[in-house]
Amino acid sequence: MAGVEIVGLTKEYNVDGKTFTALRNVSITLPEGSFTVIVGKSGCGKTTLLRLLAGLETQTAGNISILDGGTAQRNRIGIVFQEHRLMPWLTVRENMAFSFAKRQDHGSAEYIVSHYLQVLGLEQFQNAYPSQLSGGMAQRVALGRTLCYDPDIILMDEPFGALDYFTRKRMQQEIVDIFLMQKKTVLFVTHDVTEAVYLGQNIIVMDAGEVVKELSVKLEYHRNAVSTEFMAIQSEILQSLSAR
Amino acid sequence: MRMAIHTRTLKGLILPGIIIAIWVSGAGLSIWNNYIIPSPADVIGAGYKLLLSGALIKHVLTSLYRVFAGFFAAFLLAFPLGILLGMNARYREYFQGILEFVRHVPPLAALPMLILWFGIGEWPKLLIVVLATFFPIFLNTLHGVASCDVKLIEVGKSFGLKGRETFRRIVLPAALPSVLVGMRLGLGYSWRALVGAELIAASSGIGYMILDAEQLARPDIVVLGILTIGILGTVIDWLFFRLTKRFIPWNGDEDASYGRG
Repeated sequence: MAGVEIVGLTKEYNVDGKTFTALRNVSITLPEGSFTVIVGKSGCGKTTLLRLLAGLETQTAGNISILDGGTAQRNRIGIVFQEHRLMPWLTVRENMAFSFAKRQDHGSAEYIVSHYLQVLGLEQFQNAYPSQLSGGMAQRVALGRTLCYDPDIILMDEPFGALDYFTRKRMQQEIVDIFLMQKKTVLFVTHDVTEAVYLGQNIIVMDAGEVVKELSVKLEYHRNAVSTEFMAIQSEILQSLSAR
Repeated sequence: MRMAIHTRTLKGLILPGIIIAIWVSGAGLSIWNNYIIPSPADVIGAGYKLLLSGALIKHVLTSLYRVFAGFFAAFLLAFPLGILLGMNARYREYFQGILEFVRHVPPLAALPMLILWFGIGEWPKLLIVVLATFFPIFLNTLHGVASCDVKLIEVGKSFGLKGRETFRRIVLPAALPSVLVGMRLGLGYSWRALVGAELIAASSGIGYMILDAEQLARPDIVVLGILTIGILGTVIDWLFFRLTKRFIPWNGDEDASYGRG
């Protein structure tokens, strides 16, 4: 397992000759084994932060350190994207085994994939192709693919954004179950304040590329979204966003 | 599903059935001159005689050999070049002009020069097939590789895949449906171009059989040749389609009409 320390992270893009700052001097810490949620409006820089952490982009300034027992070292980072991004030519089982290639021997790869197929309730669909799956199921396969990779840190970029209300609720519960089971460091990005409070132990509110508020949520999992405490936290987040 | 396929096949047989019925009844009632449109009985009779003598088989095998040899050679050239240029946008600029020029020249237009350079033997015919087949395979391979979804490449990157592995595990499988469409189109084009070449410069093959029959005033053999080409082309295309479906089971019914040629 590992945590993450982000110090003074800045990301600028050049758009039509003008400099656009997507992230401005962001400093946050993701404690080891914690569930952190970044919440904010569209374009607030949350996805950019995630992409920088995943190594898909390079920061303009600042530093990202992966902390493992206090020593900065390279650890495995898995990402679940907004769209499922499954390989259309691979079956559910093959997609979930995608990260194994040469790294793992065949036997243990089979065992790990079978385990997560069962955990995510996908056993019946293991030979189906992505085009034959519903949106929720495809996103579950994408989650399974990342879990099979056995990352130290899991990044999730609005993975349930395109799902209907009921599927989304079920997936949120499943994520919490998996987190409680594995205790990996999770960074989850969403624009849905209710989702943020339902999932996060730590919530980071972002706006215009900056961190505007950090909260710690002490409520027990699984959380009741209509409880007074839940709604109070939700309201606090909304106020911090609307104040700007 | 199976029922739908049967219905589709049956629907596709209605028009040919009507044409055959008109052909049979028109010939039976002597509505037209037998020399202008030979009767089905004459065509079947000519086919039977040529089959017995072995001439039809010989011409068919010669044409098939030319089609497949030319097709294979074109694939060996077009596939790697399509991948190379698909992966490297900056190389594409060097090749674009010459490839655009050659693409617009019908292969048969080059036949006189090919005969001048290589004589009347097998080479000009094979080269005609290569020219006809090259572009569908090349352009579809290039498109398949160049249009590989960047989002899938990012997935590979997030799992630590690098250069060659990304190509082998993401770019190539993503391009495969497009490559196979190009091959299917190329096969059809090669058949057309070859018969054209055989009509001009050959001493065997179905194209030659048709030309020879024309000079001997045997329209029944001309019609037999046309029917043989059509049937062979359809069967080869169907076989290739069945074969490609095994390679891309995730892709459903890939229609060749979406390809680039």
